[in-house]
Amino acid sequence: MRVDIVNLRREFGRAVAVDDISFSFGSGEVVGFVGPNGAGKTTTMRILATLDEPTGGDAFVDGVSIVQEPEEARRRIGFVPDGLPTHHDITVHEYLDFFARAYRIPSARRKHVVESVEEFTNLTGLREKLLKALSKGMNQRVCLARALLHDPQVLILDEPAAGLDPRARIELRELIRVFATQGKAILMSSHILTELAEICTGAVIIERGRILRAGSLDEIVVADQFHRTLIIRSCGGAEGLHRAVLELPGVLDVERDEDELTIAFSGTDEAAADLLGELIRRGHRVSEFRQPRANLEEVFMNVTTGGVQ
Amino acid sequence: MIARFLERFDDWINPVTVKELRQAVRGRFVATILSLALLAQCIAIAAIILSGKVNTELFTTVPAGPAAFGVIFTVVFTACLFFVPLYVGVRMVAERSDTNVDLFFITTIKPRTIVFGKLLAVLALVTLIFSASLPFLVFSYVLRGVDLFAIGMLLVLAYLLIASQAVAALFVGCIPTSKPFKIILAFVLLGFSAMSQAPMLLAAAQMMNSGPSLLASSDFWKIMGIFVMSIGVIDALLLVLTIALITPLSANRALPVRITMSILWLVSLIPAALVVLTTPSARELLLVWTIAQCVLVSLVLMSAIGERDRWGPRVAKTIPANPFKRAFAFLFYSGGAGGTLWVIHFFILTIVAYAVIDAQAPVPTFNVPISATRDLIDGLLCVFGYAMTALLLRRTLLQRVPPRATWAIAMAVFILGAIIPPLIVLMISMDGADPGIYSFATIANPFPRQDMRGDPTRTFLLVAWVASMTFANFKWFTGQWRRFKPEGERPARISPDVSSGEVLSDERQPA
Repeated sequence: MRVDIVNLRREFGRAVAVDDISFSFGSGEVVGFVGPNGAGKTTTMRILATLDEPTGGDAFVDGVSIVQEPEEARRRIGFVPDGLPTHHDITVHEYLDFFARAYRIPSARRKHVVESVEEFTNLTGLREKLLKALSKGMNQRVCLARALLHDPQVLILDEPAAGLDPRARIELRELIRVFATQGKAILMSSHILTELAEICTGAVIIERGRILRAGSLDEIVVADQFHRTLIIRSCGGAEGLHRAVLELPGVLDVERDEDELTIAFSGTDEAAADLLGELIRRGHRVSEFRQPRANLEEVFMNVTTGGVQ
Repeated sequence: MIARFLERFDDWINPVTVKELRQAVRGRFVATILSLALLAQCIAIAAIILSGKVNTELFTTVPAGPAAFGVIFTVVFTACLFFVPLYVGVRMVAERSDTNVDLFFITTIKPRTIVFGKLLAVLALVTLIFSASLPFLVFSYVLRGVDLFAIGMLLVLAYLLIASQAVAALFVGCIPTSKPFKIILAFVLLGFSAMSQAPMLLAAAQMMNSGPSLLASSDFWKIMGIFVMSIGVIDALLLVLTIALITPLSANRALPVRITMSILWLVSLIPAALVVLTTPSARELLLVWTIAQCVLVSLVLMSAIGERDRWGPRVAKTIPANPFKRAFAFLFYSGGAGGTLWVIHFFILTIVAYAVIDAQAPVPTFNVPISATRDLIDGLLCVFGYAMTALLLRRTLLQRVPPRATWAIAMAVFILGAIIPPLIVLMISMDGADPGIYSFATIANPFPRQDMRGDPTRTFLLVAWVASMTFANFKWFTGQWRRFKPEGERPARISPDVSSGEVLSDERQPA
């Protein structure tokens, strides 16, 4: 199962919401779709879910075009929009049963499917509750359950963690991990980048409808590092170490905080190992030497300008 | 066997109907209305029986059966006529938000399934309320004085009328406009309900008085035929419009509407022509038909000038390659220029049909205005002139106005061109305006003074106005026609694979 987005473009009058973007992902992957408000994330997701039509380009879900065969593509996609269900006078079970009917799941299987999904999303105890009586977190679970009814291979989640309390967020994260292990391809937008970084295998950073970065999470982060940061802690006082480090090749800058030095280093991994060897050779008692990675948040702040169309 | 049948029935039944009925049963509104209606019927029956026991004279003057039936029918009919459409409309408005409509379209459910599902649920609801009143209706029959034919006929008519109002409520609920405007429309709808209530109750009284002898009356069946046909035509149009309104914007929404309107135009023309050609006293019917068609087609024009001027890939792939079929499709597909051309065709067809049938009709026994054709032509030229002027303004001076609001510009231009000038003339010459100046000020008014009707100078000026505006918009027409082509091959490009480790760094950094 692969999802290929090819030259996707969406114009609203003169405004270009999505500007010729292309990327792809596959089974078992969780891709974070990141961008400032108005960047074109929701528009792209709505197009992928066949709820909107691109002005140009196409997207293929397992080879099925969302433009040419939207209904066929819809069968393969589970979409969780950022809005919650607002239907009155309907219980969780009736709501899910309605969507199971709408997906034309035959009567013989429907009861089992709905109950399985309720159990999987931990909704069994809430099945007789009215939708209106549910909290936001519970409603979000209902949305997820609804998207899972027809067992789609692709899940598109638009801000699924927005407004959830910490427990609900952790539960959601665990659910998404389970989906990934089941082989589903997941595209998920969120503004909580630290959480995305924990569960995503890849990321697409978008702004003003254009992709700024796309790739696996590790590669994006490494590719965006202009220099390495090394942190060195010494047992024998940092004064001598500070002077020694400044004399070594590749060191751009050093900041000292008591016994800890934070070094801006322009060399490779091998050069960093050489630097450590040189310090030990000179008799410095190094108790800690580490290379913290830049995180998604830093990359996001580096590459985006915060502008909207 | 029965289990398998039920399983199949369960698979076949519309999911929206199931959902709507579950919500109706669980909600308080339906239960309250049903309980109140039943309570009112209980009280009415009790009052009639008690008054019958106290005063036997009542039974001799007004038989107990018709009295009981009249009260019960009034209660049930009124409850259903006002509250069922209200309930349906409010539910539709609540579900008409983009988010909820989206939820429907996440599945493979179709817009027509949604609308027919809701309609079916309404019919089931009305059946439920009628069924709950059945014991009281049977009791009124037991009291004597009312026949089964009248009961059956009235229930059918009431059912049709309520269903029709429910369809109208669904339509109003789907109109993409602000809630205050929808509330105004709801009051208009309730006004229609109130207007249809009195004739229905009068018909009920007449039917109970006449009894089965009505069956033999040809007038009764004529009226019934016109009533049922009118309701059928209006409901068919409203249903198609409702489905079009909830269909996604990117779809070919105008196609079913224009096809339905074309069919209804022909279907309504044939009986109208037959009646007019065979009955001299019915000649006015043709004018009513013509004016109704002109109004309907004018509304289509106002909608058409705000339609899209480009087609998305899903519609584009259905555009026929054959030039003849493509030209035909251009008229019926969603699109501003095609819609305007469709309107021009139907303006001409309607006027030609009126003129031909009017010329062939038997000599009338009353005066039909001789210049009706000219009046109609002038009126349609005015409507078309305003539409084309609004289109030109939106395309040139008011480019920030969204295309869908072009009708509002047309209304503004109409006020400026048709209402303001005569008012100014009247205000300037308070002691009596010069008739010549006043007439000139009403040139662009579709309803001018009597002395301006059929004036060739006015027609000439209107033709010049329409021609110049159409010429000014000519590029808009030709541009859309050029773009109306079957979709070509799409370019393919290898996309960066998120999982492959390939990192895309877009060189087109935002400014």
